[in-house]
Amino acid sequence: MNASSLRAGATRARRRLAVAAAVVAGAVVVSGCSASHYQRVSCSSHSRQSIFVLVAQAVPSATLMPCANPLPGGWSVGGFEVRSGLTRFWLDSDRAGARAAEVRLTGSCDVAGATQLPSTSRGWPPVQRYEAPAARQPPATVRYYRFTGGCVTYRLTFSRQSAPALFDQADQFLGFTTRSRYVNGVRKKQGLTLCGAGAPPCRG
Amino acid sequence: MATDGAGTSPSRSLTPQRGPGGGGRRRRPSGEPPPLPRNLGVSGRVWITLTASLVAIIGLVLASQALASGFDRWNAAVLRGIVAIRTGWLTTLMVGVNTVLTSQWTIRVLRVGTLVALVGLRRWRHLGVFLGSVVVVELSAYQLALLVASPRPMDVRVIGTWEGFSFPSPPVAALAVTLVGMVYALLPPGQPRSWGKWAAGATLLLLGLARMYLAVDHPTDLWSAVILGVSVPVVAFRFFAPNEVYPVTYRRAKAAHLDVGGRRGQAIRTAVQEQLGMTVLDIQPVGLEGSAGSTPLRLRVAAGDREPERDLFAKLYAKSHVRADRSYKLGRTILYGALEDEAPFQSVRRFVEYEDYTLLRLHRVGIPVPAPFGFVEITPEREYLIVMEFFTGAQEIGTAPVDDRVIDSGLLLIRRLWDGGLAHRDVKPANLMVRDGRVLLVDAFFVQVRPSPWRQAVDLANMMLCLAVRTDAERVYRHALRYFTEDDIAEAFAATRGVASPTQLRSVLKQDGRDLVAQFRALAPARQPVAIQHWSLRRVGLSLLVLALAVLAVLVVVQNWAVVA
Repeated sequence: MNASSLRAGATRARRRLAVAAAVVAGAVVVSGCSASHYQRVSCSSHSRQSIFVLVAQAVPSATLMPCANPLPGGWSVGGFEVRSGLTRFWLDSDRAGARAAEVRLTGSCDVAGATQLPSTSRGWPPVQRYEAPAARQPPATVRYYRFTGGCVTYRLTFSRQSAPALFDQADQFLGFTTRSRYVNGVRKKQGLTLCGAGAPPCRG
Repeated sequence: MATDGAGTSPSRSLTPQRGPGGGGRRRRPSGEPPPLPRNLGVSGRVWITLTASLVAIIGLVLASQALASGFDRWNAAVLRGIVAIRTGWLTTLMVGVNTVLTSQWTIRVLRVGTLVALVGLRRWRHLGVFLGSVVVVELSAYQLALLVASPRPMDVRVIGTWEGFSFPSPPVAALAVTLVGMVYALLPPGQPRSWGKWAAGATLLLLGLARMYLAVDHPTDLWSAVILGVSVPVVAFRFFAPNEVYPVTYRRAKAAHLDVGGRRGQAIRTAVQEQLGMTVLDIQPVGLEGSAGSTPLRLRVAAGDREPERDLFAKLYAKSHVRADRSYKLGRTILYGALEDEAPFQSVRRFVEYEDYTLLRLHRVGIPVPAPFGFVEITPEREYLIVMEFFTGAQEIGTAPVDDRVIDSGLLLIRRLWDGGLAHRDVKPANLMVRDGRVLLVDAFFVQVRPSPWRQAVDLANMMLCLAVRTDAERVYRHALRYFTEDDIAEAFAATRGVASPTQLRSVLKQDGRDLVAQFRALAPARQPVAIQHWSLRRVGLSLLVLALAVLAVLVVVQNWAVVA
């Protein structure tokens, strides 16, 4: 084999390598390696692709973070948005339509005019619940869940009166997970500090 | 008849003969690259390698939690060192830099400005590559962010606003693809593009420093975003709009004309030497103003065993010319129906093979055309150069003296075409040369064998018009009767209206001021005009298809507008 043949062979090999790398890149990007929207916001999620560390960074003062309990048939997590100061995810229903329910976490919320409901606590710090006066046209329900350092606004595009069965289902979706769980997890796995509530002060 | 691999034949008297071995010719061995191999360039290969490395690292990080934690700790250590220098004024400055450079308005103005500029410059290919790069980078960054799901930096206080996962940094990738796309789509190669690259690099560096200072992104987020945002447009432009074929230039030049300096110039010399056995001493563009479908060149070749040092004429054809020819014919088919009565070419090789064949054919029936030397391959299926005799001492008919001898010569040329069952289809002053009182015909690309009678009639009328512009209609008509009947001439001018004449001839007639077509029609017997517009199912179907594709293209742009702008 002469030098030119070797050069040509090397050129072909490089070309094949480049094509293979591009194909792998494309395959990785478009493959189903990503977790589903539900897996990312599920209360029982252990996926490293869950959004809760990011949520803890978005609203660092919040001691609790909203999550989704298992969904009955006809419901799915439509999408989520996490950015500094705000986190929200929404659920689509085959009966009530897209974005039939939306969960929003912020540092605080205005509950003036809302009726306080009995507090709830299922293994997490106490949460104060409020419900805004029901809108009739179009029917909608807005609930607030206040806790140390944060507030969750839970908005439904229907009311108990307009869709009682859906309302009962939606009442079960919203769950909470504690920030401290992720603070401890990051410290243990990576040896780093997830800055904010429940963590030591960070640099800068 | 025996022919060699390049299509030359023993009958070509001007072809140099240099002994039994092909005299200076060399067969390219299998596997050896062609004279001008398709090349992504050093930077293109570097960016492809970086992208491949990035993909490999992502795969490893996803597979190994320990490796991911290692990267996190390294990122945190770097950022701890950077945030240690935070001071009031510097923080204000960095917040400002980050706000301005990552603002959706900044990106939007840059992208929309580039799109408007490219539309204004009618640089459609660059426009498509720019849009494609932006869409690919935006969607890839989004998908990668979901896949890797990297949170924002830890251990340090984050200043400023952010959105979504951090790897790869979406605003940095968006700015990178925009700036690099602008550099390749708008700036000519050389110093302007070099400055543009430095400016884009400096801007990205400044933004990267600002985002690390504010601890909004990890160093790896920024590095991966730059790799993604730079490699996609660099490779896309090098691959789909290489500067050698689609040059970015602001000189007043036709897009069809390719640069014949640098690598291409060297490739032409090598190809002509190896495939035709001639040593090229100099390459000069020639007659660019009269050519829109190729790059015409004058090659100065060294003396051979039997020939002195001399000039040859050559035409460089590239894939862009095939596409332009296809669009031209499609447009004419939609506008005029059966005016273009031949199918478009499917490849550059077919292009040059056809012109080589028509030259040989014309040569054989005694039409005075340049003696063909065959063609050479520059880049397989992408670029070919057809080489022929250069008419030394000939003048274009528009500037040469035109006497009775020249008139007869021009008319006789058309008579021979008719008798040979041929039509030239592009008879215009730029394609008619005069030497020693004889009309010579150049550019055989549009020649048709067994054409429609209408085509042949149009050739006659165009030749008579070319001759009459330099003399007068009555004199040309009188001479024409020696070679054609009155009915032939009547048919020619019944067939020739508007678009049937080449653009250059129409322009010359307009400048002349005399209504020569009307004068010829008055001289010839009366005849009903030959219809140019022909309706057919194919024409209707093509028109509807083009309309549907245009609507689809607009819809695609509208649907992806949110991603782009």
